[in-house]
Amino acid sequence: MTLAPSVREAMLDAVPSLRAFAISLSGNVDRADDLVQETLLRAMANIDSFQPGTNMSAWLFTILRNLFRSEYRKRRREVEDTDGSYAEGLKSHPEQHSRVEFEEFRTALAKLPQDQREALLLVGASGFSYEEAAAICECAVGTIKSRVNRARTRLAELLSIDSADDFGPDQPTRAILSAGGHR
Amino acid sequence: MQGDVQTRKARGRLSREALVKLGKVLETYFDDVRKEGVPDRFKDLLDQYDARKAQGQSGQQAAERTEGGSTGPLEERHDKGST
Repeated sequence: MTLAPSVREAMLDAVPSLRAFAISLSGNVDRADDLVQETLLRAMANIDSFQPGTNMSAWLFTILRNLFRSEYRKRRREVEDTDGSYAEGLKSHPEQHSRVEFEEFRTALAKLPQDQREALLLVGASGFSYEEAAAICECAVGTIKSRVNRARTRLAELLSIDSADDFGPDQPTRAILSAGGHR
Repeated sequence: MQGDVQTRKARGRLSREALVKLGKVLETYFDDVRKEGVPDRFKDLLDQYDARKAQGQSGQQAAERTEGGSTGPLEERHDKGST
C-alpha cells in the first residue's frame, strides 16, 4: 500500500523539527540527516503500527531517539567527537545573530547529560508537552520535568543567562510590582 | 551578583526572565534548522517508497494477467539520488 496523502504530509511536516532535534542530539548535520532518513525508512516499513489520528510527530521522534541511542552506544566505543566537526555543515549558519552566541550555545548543550539534553530539546524546543516527552523517552512525567529543570538551570549557568541584575536590592518592590502586573 | 547566582543555583530555580531568555535561545537555535524546510532527499525518499509500492502492486497485477509473461525486473529504476 502506498502512503496515504495525509500520512505522507504528516511525515514531511515533521521533518524540519526532526532534523533540528537530530542535529542537536548528534551535533553533526550529516549524521543527523542520516538519522532522519533512517527514521523515515523505519516509519514507512512499520506504518501499519502507526495509529491514524495519533501524533505522527511524536511517533517519529520516538523512532529517531531510539535509533540515536542505539547508534550512540555503538559509536561511543569508537571515537568520541565532542568538538571538531560539530554542526559545521549547517547551511543556514546564523548570520542573523552572532556566531559566537551560537557556538557558545551548542557547546553548552553538548555539556548536558544526554537524558537532560533530550528532555530539554523535546519540551523546550520541539514543542512537546511533558506528557508527550515522557512517552517519547519512555519514562515518567515527573522524571521529564526534573530533567528539563536541571537542564535549564545548567544551561543558564553555562551561558550566564541569569537575571541576577533583575533582582537588585529592591527585589521586594519589584516582586510586588510584577505580582500586580500578572493576571 | 555572583552571590545571587549561587543562591538561585542552590534553589534550582530560574527567574521568569531567565526562562524566557533561555527559551528564545533554544528556539532560535532550532529555527535555524527549521528554516531549511524539508530537504529534497526526504521527499525523494517518500516518493521512492510510493513508487516501489505502486510498482509492486501493478507488477503483481500484470504478472497475474500475463501469467508468466516477461514482466522483467522493474525494481531498480528509481535509485538515482539515493546517496
